[in-house]
Amino acid sequence: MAKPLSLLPPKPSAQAGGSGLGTTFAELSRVVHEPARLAILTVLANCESADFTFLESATGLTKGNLSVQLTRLEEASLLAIEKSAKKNRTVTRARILAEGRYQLGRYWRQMEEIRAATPGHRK
Amino acid sequence: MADPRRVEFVTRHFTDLQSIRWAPVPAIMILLSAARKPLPGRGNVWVLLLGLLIAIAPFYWWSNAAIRRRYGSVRASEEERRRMQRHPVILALLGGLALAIILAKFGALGSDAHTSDFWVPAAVLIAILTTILDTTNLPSRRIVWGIGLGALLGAGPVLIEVAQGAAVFALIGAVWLSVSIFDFLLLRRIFAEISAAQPAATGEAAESHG
Repeated sequence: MAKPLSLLPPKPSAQAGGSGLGTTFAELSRVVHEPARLAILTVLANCESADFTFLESATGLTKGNLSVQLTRLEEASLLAIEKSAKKNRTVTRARILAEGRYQLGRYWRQMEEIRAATPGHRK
Repeated sequence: MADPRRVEFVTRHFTDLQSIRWAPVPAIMILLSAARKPLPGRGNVWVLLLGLLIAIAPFYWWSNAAIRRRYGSVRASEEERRRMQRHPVILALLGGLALAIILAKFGALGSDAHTSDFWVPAAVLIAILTTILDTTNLPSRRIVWGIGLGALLGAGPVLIEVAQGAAVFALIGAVWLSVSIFDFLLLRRIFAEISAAQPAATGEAAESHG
């Protein structure tokens, strides 16, 4: 049966939450979207694991900020942190998890979709 | 935030960019050439390699520790380590090398042919081509390594006869040392650029998360 025509505008989806943002914007992961965390995930997606010093060098973040962001990413189950003792000092290594890799890939796909759908920014 | 392409590059190639750790090898090659020592005989190649390894071990250990302390360490993924080994050009070279070694073993390439006549140049060629053909490398790095390969292929055949092969030794050493220095300077420059962008990145994060 054909769907009846309606003169009313479509209802906003539950995910968009009526914020006025398009569905794709609202679906962006806030955990991944933050620049510092995006940089950390970009580094870890390109290797098996990296230590704290390398993450500090490659992202340009301060020790404190890096530590906070790593904890947030670990809480979101996007990466795993392993600590080991070596010559009386603790070595911290981070490794991206399958969920982190998936979320990062999804984030870039969504950004591409937004770019493609934006008038004046199409290829 | 730093350029994501540079962050990706420096992570993928962090170990490759540290070939400066082997710097004593090309330096010794240049010094030997300056002393007009001819290329070692085929039987002496392993003795020379062993001597070089003993000579470079302290520098390698020190530079490795210094780089690790300053920039940290990365473990490359298994897939990343094997990625370039599956490149068609590299596979073709390895296949050609295997065939040449088999033919040399059975004397099909003349009684004078020796396996080291093939695997030494092939190893050098594969090492250089692995960097040039890798599209994840920055164009500047591929160009510099390409110039190095051009110098080896252009001047190598001419210099092989000069001073009983000592000149070609110097050429290989000079190319090796040059690309190693270039790679290390590139590594330092990228980290310096990222570090220069640090206040912005920190500010953004602080703003977002208090």
